[in-house]
Amino acid sequence: MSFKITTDTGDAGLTAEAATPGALLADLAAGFAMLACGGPLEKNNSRTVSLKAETPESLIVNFLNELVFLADTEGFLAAAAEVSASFKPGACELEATLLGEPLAFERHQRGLLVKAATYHGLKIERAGGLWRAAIILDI
Amino acid sequence: MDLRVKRLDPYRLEIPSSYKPGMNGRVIVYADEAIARDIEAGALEQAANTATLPGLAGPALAMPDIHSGYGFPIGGVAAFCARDGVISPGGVGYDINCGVRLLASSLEAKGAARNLEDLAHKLYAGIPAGVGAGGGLRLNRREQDAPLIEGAAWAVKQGLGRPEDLARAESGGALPGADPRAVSNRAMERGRGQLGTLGSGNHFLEVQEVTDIYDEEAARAYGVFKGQLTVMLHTGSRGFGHQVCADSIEAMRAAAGRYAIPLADPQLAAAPFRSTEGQLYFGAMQAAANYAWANRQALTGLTREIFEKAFGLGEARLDLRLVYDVAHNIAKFEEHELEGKKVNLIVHRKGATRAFGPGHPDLPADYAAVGQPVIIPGDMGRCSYLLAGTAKAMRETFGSACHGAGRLMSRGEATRRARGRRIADELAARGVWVRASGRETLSEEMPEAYKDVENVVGVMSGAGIAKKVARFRPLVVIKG
Repeated sequence: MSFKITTDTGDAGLTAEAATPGALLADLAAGFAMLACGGPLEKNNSRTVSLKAETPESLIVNFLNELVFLADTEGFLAAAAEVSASFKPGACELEATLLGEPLAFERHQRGLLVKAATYHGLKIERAGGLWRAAIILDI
Repeated sequence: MDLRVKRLDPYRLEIPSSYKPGMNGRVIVYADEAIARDIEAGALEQAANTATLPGLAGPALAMPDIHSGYGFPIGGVAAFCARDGVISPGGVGYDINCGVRLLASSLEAKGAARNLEDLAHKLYAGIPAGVGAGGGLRLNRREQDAPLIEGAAWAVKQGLGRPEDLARAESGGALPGADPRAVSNRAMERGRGQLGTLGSGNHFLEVQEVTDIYDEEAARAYGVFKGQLTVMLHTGSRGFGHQVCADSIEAMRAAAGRYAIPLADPQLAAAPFRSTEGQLYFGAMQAAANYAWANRQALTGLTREIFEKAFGLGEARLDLRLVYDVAHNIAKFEEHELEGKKVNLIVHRKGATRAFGPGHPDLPADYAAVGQPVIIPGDMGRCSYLLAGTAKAMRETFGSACHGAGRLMSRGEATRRARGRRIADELAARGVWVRASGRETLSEEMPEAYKDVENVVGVMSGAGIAKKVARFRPLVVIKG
C-alpha cells in the first residue's frame, strides 16, 4: 500500500503510486479511509462499485466521490479494496469490491469529513513503470 | 508579490487584465500591506483565472480573507451578465450557502458566567456535529422537497423557529427559483438525514459576549448591546449541497466542448447562465441554498431549547432573537448599477458575504437606515465581528464583503504546530469552553491557523466597504 496524505491551505489531499490503475485506486481508497478514520477498520462488510468515464481524471474523481457518498450516507469506510481498472482514454472503467465497515464511534476515531473530490490540481501520470496520482479533497 | 500587481491605494491592489491571456477584466484585491504579505501567489492566480470566464461584469474581486480554493479562490466575488455570461459551480463551492447567523439574547454575559460550563455540555450533547453524526431530522423522499422549496420557513413550520425569524435572513431564508427536479437522487440521499446537523471542519456554534460597540445607531437597530450574550452559528447545506456541486461540475465538464468556454482550471467548469446546464445548476443550487437555510433554522430551534434548559428560563425571558443570517457561498440573480446602467447579474460569492448598503429594498425595514448586518466570524480564540454594508460596497463590490478570518496555515501545518499542546486547556485559560468531536479538529482549527480577523475587518472598514458595528469574544465553542 503506497499513499500519502497531503495538506493544502484549507483542504487535504492524497497522493499514491502503484504498478497498475487498479492498485492505484485501491491505495487512494485506503488513504481516504485513513483521512476519515484514524483507527483500524474491520473487513466484515462489502460494497461493489462500477464506474465508466471518458478520462482517467474523471474516473479517479468519480471513484473517490463514490467513497464520499458511501461514507456520508452509510458511514461505510473501506479498509481494503480490490479494484480492476483501465485508464484507456475514452473508455476508462473500474470494477471495485470495497471491504470495510460502517463507522462506530465507540470503536473508531472521528477523522475529517470529506465533502468531495476535486479536479483542482489533479495529476495522474505514468513514469518508470508506475502510475502516480495526486488529488485534492474538499474538507 | 508579483511586480505586475499594482497598489491602487492603502486598501486595494489591482491585477491588470494583461496579467494573463484571456482575462476579460481586471481583478481588485482588498488588502493592505500586512494582509498582502500573507496572500499565497496561488490564490491571486485563481482570482485572475475567474476573470477569464465569459461575460464578466466589472472587475473580479478578492476580499482580504482570500486564500486558495479550487477553481475560484475562497474570498472571491465575480459577477457575470445574466444575458450572456456564465454560471459556475466552482464559483460557489461545494458547501452551497454555507453561512452564518447571529442570535442575540436578553441576557448579559457576566450574569451567565456560572452557567457556561453546563451550557457547553448541553450544547455539545444536543447539537448533532461531526463526521457521521446522527440526530438530524430524517425525512422520507416525499417530504424532502418541502425544505428545498421553502427553506427556513419549512423549519419554522416544524416548530423550529418563529415566523419573525424569516425577515431576518438574507432573501427571507429561501430563494424562489429552487427546482427539486434538478437535484439528483444521490443528493437527495445524502441530504436525507442531515437537516439539523452542524457538520465538521470550520463549522461551529459559538456562545459569545459583545465586548465593543463601534456604531451605536446600527447596534441599536440590530438590537445588540455591550456585555450581551449572543450565539453565532456557522454551517451550510451539508452533504446535499456537496453532491449538487459535484454533480454539476461533472455535467458542465461534459458540456464544456459544446459551449467552447476556455477553462484556466478544470474546477472553474461553467456553462452559459441561459443554457440548459446553467439553468439546471441554478435550480439545484437554489434548492441547496434553501436546504442550508432550513438547516440553520432547525439548529436555531435546537439552540433555543437548550438555552431554555440550561438557564431555566422561558422563551420570552431569554428572547434569543435572530439578528441576521448571511450566505457566504452562493450565486444570486441581482440587479446592480454598472457604468451608469442597471444590469441583471449572476453574482458569485465564494467565501464572501453580501453587504448591501442602507436603503436597499431587500433589507428589513428596521435595518434599512443602517445597512445590512454582515456577520464575520473570526477564530475560536480571538473574536468575531458584526459589520454593516455601505453604499460604497454597492458601487465597488456588488454589495459584497469578506466572510471570515481566512486560513493562514494548512491543516497539516496547524496539526504539526499543535503537537504536544493542549489546545482545549489553552482556550479554557482564556475563558473559552471548547468541545469538539473530531480527533484533530482543535489542532486544525486552533486560533493561529487563521489570519487575525481584526486585520481582515480593518481592511473592509478602511476601504469603506463595511463599517464596524460590534465585536464579540467567544465563551463556548462547539465544533464537529
